[in-house]
Amino acid sequence: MNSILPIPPVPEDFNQQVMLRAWLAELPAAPVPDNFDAGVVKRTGHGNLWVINSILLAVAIGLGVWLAMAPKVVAVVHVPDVRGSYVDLTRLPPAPHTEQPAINRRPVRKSARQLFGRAGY
Amino acid sequence: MESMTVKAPSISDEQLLQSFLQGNEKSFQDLMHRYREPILSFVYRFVGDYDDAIDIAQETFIRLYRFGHTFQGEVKFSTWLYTIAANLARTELKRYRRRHGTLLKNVFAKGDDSDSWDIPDEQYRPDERVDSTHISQAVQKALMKVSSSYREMVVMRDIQQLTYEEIAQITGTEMGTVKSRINRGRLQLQEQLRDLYNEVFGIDEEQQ
Repeated sequence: MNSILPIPPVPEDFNQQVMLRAWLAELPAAPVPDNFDAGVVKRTGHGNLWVINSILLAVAIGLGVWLAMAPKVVAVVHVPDVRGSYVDLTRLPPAPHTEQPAINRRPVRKSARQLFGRAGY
Repeated sequence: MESMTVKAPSISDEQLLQSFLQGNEKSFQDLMHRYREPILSFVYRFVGDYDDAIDIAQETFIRLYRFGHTFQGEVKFSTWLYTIAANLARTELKRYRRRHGTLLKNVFAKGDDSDSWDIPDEQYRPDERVDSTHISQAVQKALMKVSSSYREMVVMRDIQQLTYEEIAQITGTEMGTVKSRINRGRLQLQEQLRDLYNEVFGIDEEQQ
């Protein structure tokens, strides 16, 4: 004959267990600080990359500003001192006399036909 | 109560992780936003020190960032992340014990009634009622007096609301051992909180 198993009694500390679990479940979550994400990013190495990028950017901007504000470059050309080669025009030696036969030669006359050709041709 | 359960995300954790592994940094941020509070709370309740908890929680996400590709999908993403956090917290407790010759939990269980974290936050209201704050502090102090192997599982079960199966996976322990440790941890807690029960329910020593 089957006998029905007796219902086990409620443990003595049942209420306390319930309260304990309720208190545990209601414990407030630890607040996440504002800089939590930034801390993670910094520690993953991206923070260093950001610093390096910032430095490079600052250097680039500084270089640009410096170039923009630098004085214009003027090319200095050496010019020889001409005072040493001063010539006294009153004491120039006479120029040598040379004949120019082409000047004395009589010009060859050309007829109009030679100059302009014949009409009709 | 904040638990590990995420409010019906449109994209699953695993999809976010996949997206992150494909180079989308925003997905990493999203994962961090989903889990930073539950992970921080778990570590804080386990380790007992707020600053250490922040450090360990951050380290957990750094591990995710660096070793996310090692996630094989054999367990849920949240279980995997809790495993990292739990391992780091355990390591931290051991390290502190080696350095100082005592348990970290004992340092924070020495009757300091001040609130355990000290950061100004206008929006944060840890407890709306004064007596609730008192209970929270007493429970946290009692937690730190429970053996760490029991405390870890009690925190996962009763605070983080993880399932026994998840706890077994996270801690690499048999299900039976998990249940046994949780029960023992609760009993230790009850013992520690005996005075609080009496205080809250107005039970005199003579009545017990």
